[in-house]
Amino acid sequence: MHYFVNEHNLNQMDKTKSILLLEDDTVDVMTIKRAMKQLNFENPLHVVSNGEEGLEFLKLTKDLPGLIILDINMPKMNGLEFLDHMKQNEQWRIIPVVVLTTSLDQHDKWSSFQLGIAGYMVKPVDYERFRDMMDTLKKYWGFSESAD
Amino acid sequence: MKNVLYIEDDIVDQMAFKRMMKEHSKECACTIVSSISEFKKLPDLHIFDVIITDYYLGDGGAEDVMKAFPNRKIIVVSGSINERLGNTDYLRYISKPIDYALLIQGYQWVMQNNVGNKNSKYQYLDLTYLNQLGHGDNEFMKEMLQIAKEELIQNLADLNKSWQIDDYSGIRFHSHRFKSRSRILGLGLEEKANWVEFNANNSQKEAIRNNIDLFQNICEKVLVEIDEAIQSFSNI
Repeated sequence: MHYFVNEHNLNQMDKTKSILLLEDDTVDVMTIKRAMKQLNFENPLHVVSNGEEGLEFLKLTKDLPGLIILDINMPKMNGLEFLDHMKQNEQWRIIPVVVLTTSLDQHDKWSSFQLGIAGYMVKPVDYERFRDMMDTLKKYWGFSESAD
Repeated sequence: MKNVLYIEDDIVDQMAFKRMMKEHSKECACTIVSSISEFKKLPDLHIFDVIITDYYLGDGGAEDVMKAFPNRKIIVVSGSINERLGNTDYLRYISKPIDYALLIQGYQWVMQNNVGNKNSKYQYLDLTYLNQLGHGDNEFMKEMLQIAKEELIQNLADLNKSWQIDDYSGIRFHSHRFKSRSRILGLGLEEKANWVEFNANNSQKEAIRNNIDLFQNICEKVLVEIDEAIQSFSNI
């Protein structure tokens, strides 16, 4: 088990892992992509628009993503339903999931943590603060060891 | 000043304000409310060219006004100087009792300096968020505005359809999405959409209808402004 991360393996770990984004709102997808570009995220980004497509992606992909960014409010299969399904799979359950939502509903937050999410972020009204939030996510993820 | 909203819980101050406006600014339409709860019940805040609010109100204060209607032209009046408010970018602070000349100065300042609405060209649309996002990229701005326009139209159609068939989970879902539209386009309707999202049930059907009508009325004008904005980015 590693208790510290040096700069070398921090960078290597970052770039090789993809990010899966579950978001059905095109404007929000563009906002997230834009923020990632401005913050020099180098990880490949895969975007799907609901929970069903997210599960399908996890089934078909050869390389599991290193991080999942999840919206709650989506059609067909919402974020909580997606979480419920993915956390039942031994391989998928170790992928950290960060919820990124406009939902202030305490029940959504409570249910998400019950289902083992790594973080819950509410989209701010201001874009600069949104970018700061994405920057924090990037730094945190960069410093965090993954389970595999 | 053409259309002013004054939020003040002190009856004496309300009377003084009415008298002052009657004396100096007869053409100005003034709406006066006494509390934040009354303020939140006003159907359309966009009709006011400026909001004048007391700092301390019985059920809240000026910060609630700013939160409910961010990035808009607000003049805060108070009996005591508040440094924190004085330093805010989005408003002008004046002290009580209100002096008409100072009020006019404050009004001219927020209008001329575009304080409170960095895109004062538009009555409803506030491009602050998208400008921060676009960072001078006009093609990106045009693309975002076009997508936002299409999604706004679809969003309202979905909300109406859900209301017509009493689909309350649909109403919750689509009003939640409307919050996101409102946030990005700076419409200041997030709180009302939030109310619809958390009160969508049969007993509130008429109140929900009123809110959807409000969204629709405002968005009709917003869609025109979005077209103007797309055009202006094409001309740069």
